[in-house]
Amino acid sequence: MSTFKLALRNLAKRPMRTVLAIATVTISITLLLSLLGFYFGYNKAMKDELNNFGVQMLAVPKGCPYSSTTLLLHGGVIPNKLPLEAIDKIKAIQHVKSAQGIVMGTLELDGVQHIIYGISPGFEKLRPNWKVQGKFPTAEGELILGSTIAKKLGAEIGKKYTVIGIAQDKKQQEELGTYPPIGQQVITYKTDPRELTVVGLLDQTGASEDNFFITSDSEARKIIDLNGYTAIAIELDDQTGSKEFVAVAVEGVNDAQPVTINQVANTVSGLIDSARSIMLSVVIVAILACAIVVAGTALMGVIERSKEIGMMRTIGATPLQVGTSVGLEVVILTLTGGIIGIVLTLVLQNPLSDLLRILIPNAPNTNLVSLPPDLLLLSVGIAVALGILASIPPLISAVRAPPLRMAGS
Amino acid sequence: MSDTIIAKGISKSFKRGTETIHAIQDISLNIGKGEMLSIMGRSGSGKTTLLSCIGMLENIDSGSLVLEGRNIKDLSEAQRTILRRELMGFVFQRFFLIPTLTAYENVALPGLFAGKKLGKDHIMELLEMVGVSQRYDHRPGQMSGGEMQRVAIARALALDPPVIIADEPTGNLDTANAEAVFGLFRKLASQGKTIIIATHSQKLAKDCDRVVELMDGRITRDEKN
Repeated sequence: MSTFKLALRNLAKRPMRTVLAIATVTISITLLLSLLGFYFGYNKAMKDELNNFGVQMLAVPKGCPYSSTTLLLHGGVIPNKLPLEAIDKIKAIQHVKSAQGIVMGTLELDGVQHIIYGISPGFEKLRPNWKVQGKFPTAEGELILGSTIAKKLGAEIGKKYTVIGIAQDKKQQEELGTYPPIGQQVITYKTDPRELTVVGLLDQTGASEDNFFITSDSEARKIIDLNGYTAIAIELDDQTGSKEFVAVAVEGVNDAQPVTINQVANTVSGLIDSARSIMLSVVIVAILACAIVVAGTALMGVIERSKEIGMMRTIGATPLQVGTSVGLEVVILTLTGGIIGIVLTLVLQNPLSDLLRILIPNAPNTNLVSLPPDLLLLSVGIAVALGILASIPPLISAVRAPPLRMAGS
Repeated sequence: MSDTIIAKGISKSFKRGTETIHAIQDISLNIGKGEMLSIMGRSGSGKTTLLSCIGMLENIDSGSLVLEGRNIKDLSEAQRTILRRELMGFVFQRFFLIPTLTAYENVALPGLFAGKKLGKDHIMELLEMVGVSQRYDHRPGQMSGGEMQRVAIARALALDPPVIIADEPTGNLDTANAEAVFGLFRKLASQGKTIIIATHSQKLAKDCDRVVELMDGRITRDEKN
């Protein structure tokens, strides 16, 4: 006979109540872990993606620089361009180590639209994490495919694809300026078909480029009929103050607007931190509600067993021993619920990440729900703390229970 | 016969609203080792209060109570709990076995509280002695009233206390079971246990060594059989 066994037997006495109390804890811990896992996962994925960008600054067309950067990170059409000559002007700025033109747009293959990403020679130096089977595209008509799209198409080196570009109507672009107003239909037209030969296959990076058609910038410009760049990636030298100097200089280049990767990272972090406060409020309310439910369940058990507890006191149980038995019941409830919650969250991690990627526009391709071991340990700690908190009312009630008087006749 | 329990002028009263109920008044009683004593009296005569005071389940208001040479007035609540564990075994009219535990586990329970692991042989011996060893793995809900009371007696004996306090132990049993349970107490007394039984049964009281009768909280009769 042990206190643990006694606690287990008491819990087994009311199986439905016990299961419901455990389910409440499971839901709370799953909610806590999922939200915190999302916070850490999304934050890490965004930061990794920004770090992998390989440059410290981007020159983007005037408008919303953060929106442009996000579109560049995840693939999208920026409805404006930087003129071709902008790249030479930027290269000429002091403290600029290198500048790479980027072209991004939409192409169509067999009626399905994909993102095209045009890069200039030397771009591979900015992305050391890119591992290409084959070679980088240097000439027009050459193509490398991201791992996901390559798998989907069953692509291999040497295979040819005929693609059609989707371009924005030039007249509308001139009339509407930088960004078409919300609700304004963007007029597009299809460009002439172009044949591309696969010269390389990009290994999986976990980022958006896994879905990209990557060509040289001149090929991309031809496909989407764009006489300019979507953005220019700028690598700076290591000198102090170079970032501020270049930012000021870039503002003087045609219609370019500088945006540093740090600014984007801080904006993303700020947004996520705001979301975290809301998430934590929800979780705290859920945990407190859970503590009340568990405390109520345990208190009900103590009240129902007041005669049994009194009898235990009569046959020699000290208030501490009675309290330990009741407290143990609550801790078993919360620990069991907590562990099931952890397992459930681990099982749901990937489906949840996939669901979030559908719900969140431009979310990174990597796992959005990160569950590091210390977070799992923290959850166990929270489950135990929840148990201790919830055991206070039943414990007080149990400890105060007097020995059972002789009942009399 | 040396005295296990010496009560001198003990009184206990309760408040009921504005009224004070004098449950027992100025009771003096010496109970010897191995003595089997029955306490009789009508409902409300003070039997239960007297048993509760002797069992340290209630504090006395006045007088002195010495158990196995220890004056309980000098003891803290925690010390009383420990002394109760060492000196007393309790048998209730309604058995009060823990329904989720088997007969075996119910008997093992006092050992858990005393921090002593009772041996399997010892527990089975006790169950054998009270005649329910074949029901060791049954829960109270699967046993008859007589069997449950036997398990309760085995539990009371688990830590081998010198005193057994039983409150109407046969009150919920049929005649055959009542006589069997009483026979068990008789056997325990012959082994040197002090047995104090509250009962309404004249017949069973006659089988005890001594009968104490209470009325309005006072002893009106104290006779040896």
